[in-house]
Amino acid sequence: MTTGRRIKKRQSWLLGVGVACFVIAVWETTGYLDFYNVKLLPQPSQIAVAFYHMVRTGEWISDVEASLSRYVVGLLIGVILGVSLGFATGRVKIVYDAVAPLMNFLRSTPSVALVPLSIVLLGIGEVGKDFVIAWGVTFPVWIGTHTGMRQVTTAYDWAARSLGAQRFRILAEVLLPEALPHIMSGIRIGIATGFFALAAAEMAGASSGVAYRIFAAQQGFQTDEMMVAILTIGALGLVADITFMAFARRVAPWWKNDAFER
Amino acid sequence: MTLGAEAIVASIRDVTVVFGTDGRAVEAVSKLSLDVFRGECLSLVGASGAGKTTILNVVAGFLAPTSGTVIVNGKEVTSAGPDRGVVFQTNNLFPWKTVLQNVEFGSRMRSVDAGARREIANELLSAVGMAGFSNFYPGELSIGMQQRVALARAYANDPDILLMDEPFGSLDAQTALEMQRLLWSIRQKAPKTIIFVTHNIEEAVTVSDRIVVLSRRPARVKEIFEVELPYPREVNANTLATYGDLRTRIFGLI
Repeated sequence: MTTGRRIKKRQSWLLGVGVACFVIAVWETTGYLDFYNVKLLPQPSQIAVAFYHMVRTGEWISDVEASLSRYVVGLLIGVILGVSLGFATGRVKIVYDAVAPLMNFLRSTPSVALVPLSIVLLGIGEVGKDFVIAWGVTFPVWIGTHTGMRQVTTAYDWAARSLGAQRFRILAEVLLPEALPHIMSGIRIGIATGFFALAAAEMAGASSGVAYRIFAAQQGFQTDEMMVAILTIGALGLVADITFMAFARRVAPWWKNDAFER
Repeated sequence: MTLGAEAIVASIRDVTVVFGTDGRAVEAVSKLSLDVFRGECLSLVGASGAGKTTILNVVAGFLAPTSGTVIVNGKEVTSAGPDRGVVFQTNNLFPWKTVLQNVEFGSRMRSVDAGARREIANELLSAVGMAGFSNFYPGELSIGMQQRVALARAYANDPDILLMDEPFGSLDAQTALEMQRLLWSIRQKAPKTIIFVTHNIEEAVTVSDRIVVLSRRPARVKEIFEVELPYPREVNANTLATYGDLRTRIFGLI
């Protein structure tokens, strides 16, 4: 990166951080000025104190652990399912014709709506939650993979053939790399929807987890703990996205496209 | 000066190509016959839409003719293959592979062992002036550099015939001249039979041994010119007369 670009990047980062700090400062001071009821909406300082306590008692860590372990399982299942299905529907028309209408109907059903069903069918253990999370992840991943596999850039196909590539090699060396950015986009969205599903799954029948903490704290009128949990889940989502993007950039370094920036 | 025109490498026989059906049918090529001799560079020139690229695609095996056949080295063409290498106008380098991986691609398909194919690739990259760019991705190169790599990639596969479809059409005039010179220098090191499609008459005169002028659609061979200038060619005081003469005559036919 040239010096000019580096400076610009630092400046934009500083600007973003600056605005965030400003918002926090306004939030804090308007609390002291009684613009809102601090019992209902805690100030940042109160949230910080609650966070400290939650960490000290180990509650925060165990919540994060519980949520993440469910999330990762659901994510893995969802990605494997979504990608496999996308390969099949993208390349084999019969499979698409058979599966697509049902899939399109199902994907319109949000994970939240499935929580009660998952409890009835799978109980209040981890399996039901993993299922709900996997549900949230599978569909965007399927769509991304499917779109990627539908692409047939004749140009590359012809180039490969004129260099002696046969069907299987073309699939592996041309089709798949071409599909990769789309698959990555699908997974990126799936990561986000997975967190929505996580929140839904922990809404009922859970006894630990970050989203669970939100609901439990609200019922106990511990609004500061509730805020800590909300901010935590947001932070987890952000970290997951950043991590994935770094990974994606390593897997597909040629893809210098805005889809992979920011 | 013609380069070793002993044997016929490719024979286009009575090829007709019709696109579409019934009322919307377009006859792009009509009963075209043409022989390409070993080691020569044969240009196909004609107006835009005259069918030059269509003919090339039929020889490459991307397109099946409506009737007629193409024989390359004794075998009838039925599909694309490594014996007919192609350099496209839009280079079509695989963006997810590095320069080196692109150039080695053909050799890998033929299971050439790693050491040998690395050597061939490096030699060719040097020949096209792209040594040192092995680990770059095509997206990081200028279009002129991409075309050099595309040429190396096609050459690396040692095809019986090289098909070039307006390969320098997307380049600026200066770069195109460099590439014409590069093509000649590579032909010096490794003679190759080439069919070169272009709409630029000067370019055709500069690179080819023979120039085939195609009629407007449907394409037929209108006339064939031999270019008797010594290589390497460029427009200068000595060659101006020939260039001018050929250009006038060809232009008059298009």
